[in-house]
Amino acid sequence: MEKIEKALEFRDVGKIYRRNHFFKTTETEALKGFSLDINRGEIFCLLGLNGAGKTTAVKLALNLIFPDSGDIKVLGEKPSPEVVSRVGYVSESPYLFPYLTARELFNLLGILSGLNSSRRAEAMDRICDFLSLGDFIDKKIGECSKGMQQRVLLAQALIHDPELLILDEPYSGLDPVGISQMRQYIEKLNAEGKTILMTSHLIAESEKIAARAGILKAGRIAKVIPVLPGLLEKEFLEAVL
Amino acid sequence: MKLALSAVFFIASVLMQAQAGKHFTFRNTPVFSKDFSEVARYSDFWLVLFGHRRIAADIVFIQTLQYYGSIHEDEISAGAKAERREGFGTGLVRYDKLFSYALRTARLDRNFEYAVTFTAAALAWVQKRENEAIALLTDAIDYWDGQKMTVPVFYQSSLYLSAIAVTKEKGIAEATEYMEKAVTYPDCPDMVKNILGEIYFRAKDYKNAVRVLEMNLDSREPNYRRKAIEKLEKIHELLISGQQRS
Amino acid sequence: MKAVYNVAKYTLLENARSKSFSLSVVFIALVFVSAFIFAKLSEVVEIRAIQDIGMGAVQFFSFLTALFFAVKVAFVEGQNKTIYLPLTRPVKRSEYIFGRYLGIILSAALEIAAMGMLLTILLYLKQAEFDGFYFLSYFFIFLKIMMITAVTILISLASTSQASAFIFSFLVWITGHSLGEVEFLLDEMSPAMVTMVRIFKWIFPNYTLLNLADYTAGRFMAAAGYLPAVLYAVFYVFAVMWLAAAVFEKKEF
Repeated sequence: MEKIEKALEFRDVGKIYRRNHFFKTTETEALKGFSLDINRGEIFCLLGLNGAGKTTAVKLALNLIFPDSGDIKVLGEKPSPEVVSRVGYVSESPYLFPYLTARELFNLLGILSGLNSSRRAEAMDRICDFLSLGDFIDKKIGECSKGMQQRVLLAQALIHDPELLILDEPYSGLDPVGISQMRQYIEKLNAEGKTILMTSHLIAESEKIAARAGILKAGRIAKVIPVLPGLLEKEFLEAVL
Repeated sequence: MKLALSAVFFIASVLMQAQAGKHFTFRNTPVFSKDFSEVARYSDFWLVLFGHRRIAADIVFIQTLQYYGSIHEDEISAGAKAERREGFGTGLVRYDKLFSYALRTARLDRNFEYAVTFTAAALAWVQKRENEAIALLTDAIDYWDGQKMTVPVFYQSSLYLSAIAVTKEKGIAEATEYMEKAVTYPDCPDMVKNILGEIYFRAKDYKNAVRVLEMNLDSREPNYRRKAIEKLEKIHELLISGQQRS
Repeated sequence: MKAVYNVAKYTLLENARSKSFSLSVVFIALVFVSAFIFAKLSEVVEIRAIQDIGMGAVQFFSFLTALFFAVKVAFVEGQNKTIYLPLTRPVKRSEYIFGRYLGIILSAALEIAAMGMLLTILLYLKQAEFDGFYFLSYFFIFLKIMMITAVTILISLASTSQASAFIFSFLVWITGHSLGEVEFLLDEMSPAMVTMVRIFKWIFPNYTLLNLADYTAGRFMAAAGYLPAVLYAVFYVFAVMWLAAAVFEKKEF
C-alpha cells in the first residue's frame, strides 16, 4: 500500500555541483538534507527563489543527475531508466529537436519508451486530440510558435501515458491564454489520475491548481503546506525572506 | 564493462596499426629545407597539417608555372636580345628560382612526377642548366630508390636523367633516343615534344619533326599548340619551296 | 539495437535537414567551382588540381560538419537540455550515444557520397580517368571522419565549453596528420622522443595510414595493408566510443 501512496520520496538528499576548471574545482551545494513526499494523485507545487534547488530536485528524480547523499524513490523504486519510463517530464523551455516534425519526435520518443507501432499510433491520436495539435503534427518543430512548441513539449511527456508528470516551470514564456490552456491541461491530466509535480514562480497560478506546495529555501524544504486560497503568497514570502 | 571493452578495442587498434604499418613504406620529406628556403612558404605547412599535401603541391606547381611564364625584372639575362614581352624559351629571363620551386613541389608530393620531369626538361633544355635538372631528378629518383618499392616508380625520371646526362656530355642532338622514349608516355610534358620536334627540325629531319610536333596539335596548353602549328607550317613552307626549287 | 537504429535514423534525418549540412554542401560546391577556375591557371595539371582540391574540400567540410554535429550532440544538447527528452526514457545511455554517433557518421557518409558523386561527374566531363584508388580514397576519407567524430564526442563530453571542444578536436585532427609527418625526423630523435611519438600514434588517430586521398597513386601501401588499416580505424572508433559511453553513463546533465 505504501508504494501506491507515495509517487515521489526524497529522504535527506544532498547534492553538490562540482565544476572542474583546468587547475581548480569549484563546489556549489544545491541541496542539503532535502526531504519531501509527494502523494499519488495530487498536484504538488514546488516553489522557491532562483537557485533554491527546484530544478536540482526534479533532475534527481529523473535520474539526470545523481545524489551525493540520501535516498530517492520514484513510484516506489530507486531512479533508473526503467522507472523513469513511467514518468513524463516537461522542461522549463521548449528545448526540442527543431529539424524534426512533432510526429517524428513522438515516434522516436515512443520507440525509446518501448511502445510498439500500434501503441504509438494510438498514443499519437490520443495526445493530438487532447492537445489539439491538428496539422501542426507534421510541421517542423523549429517552425512552430512558442505556444505550439510548449504543447509539443507537453505532448512528448504524455506519449507513454506516464503515472507521474513532472513539469518544470510549465507557464514559462506563455501568454495569458497559453497559461490558461496549460492550467486546463494539467487539471484534466490530474483528473485522469496522474500525479503532477510542478515547479513555478507564478504563485497565483500555482494556487489555482495545486493541492499542496513545498517551499524551498537554500537547498532545503522550508515548509510543506496545503494550498488555501489567498494564503500561498504570504506563506511563500514568510518562508523565503 | 565499458572501460574493459574500450581497452580491448584499443589494444586491437594498436595491433592493427602495427600490422598496417608493416605494409606502409612511405616516408614523407620535410616541408621546409635549406635547399629551397628562398621560395618556402608557411601555407605549405598548414595544408600538410590538415592532410592536404597534394593540394599544397598543386598550388606550388601552378606558382612555378606562373613564375616560369612571367618576366622578372631582377632576373633579366645580361645582354638579352629577346622582346621584353616574351617569357621562357627566349633567354630573356634567367629564372634563378626555378630549381627551388621544383624542389619545393617535389618534396611536397613525392608522387608528382610530372612536376619533376617538366621542370627538369625546362632547366636542362630551355634554361641550359643541366646540373640543376640532374640534381632535381636525382633527388626524386634517390627518394624512390630509398623506399625500396617492389613496383618500378618514376621510370620517366630515369629516362630524363639519361637524356639530360647525354645532353650535358655530348649535346642535345644526341639525346633524341631517350627523348623519343619519353614522348611515348601519355603524361609527357608537351614542352618536351616541342623540344624534340625542334631538334629534328634543326637537324633537317622533317619527317620525324612532323611526327613529333603533330602530337602537340591537341595539346591542352594553347601555347604549345600554337608553337607546334607554327613550326609545322614552317616545315610545310620549306618542303614546298624545296620542291619548287628542285 | 532497436534504440541505436532509431536514434541513428532520426539523427540522420535531423542532420540532413539542418542548415549546417546544407551550408556545407553549398561550400563544397563553391570550392568545386573555384577549383575549376584555379585549375585553369594550368591546363596541364587541370584535372589533377580539380581532383585534389575537390577531394580536399569533401574531406575538410565533412570534417567540419561531423565536428559540428558531434559537439552539438555531446555538448550543446546537454547545455540546452534537449538531451533530457531521450534520457528521460528507458533507453541505455550507451545505446543513445552509439545511436547518435551512427547517425552522425551516416550523415557524413551521405555528404561524402553526394559530393563525391558530383566531383566524379565533373571530372568525367573533363575526361579524367579513374582508378580504384580514386574511389577507395573516398572510403578512407570516411574512415577518418568516423575516427574524428568519435574523438570529438569524447572530447565534448569532457569539455566545459563549446569552444574548447572545437579547439581540442581541431588539434587532434592536426596531430593525427602530423604524426606521420615527423617520421623523417625519427632517425635524429632521442629514444625517449621516438617512444613518445609511438605512444602518440596509439592514442591519437594516425591519419597517415588512411590519407589515401593524398596519395591516390597508391604507391605508399602494399595491398595487404588496406584491411589492417580499415580494421585499425574501426577498432579505434570502438575503443573511443566505449570510453565515451562510460563517460556519458556517469555524466550529469
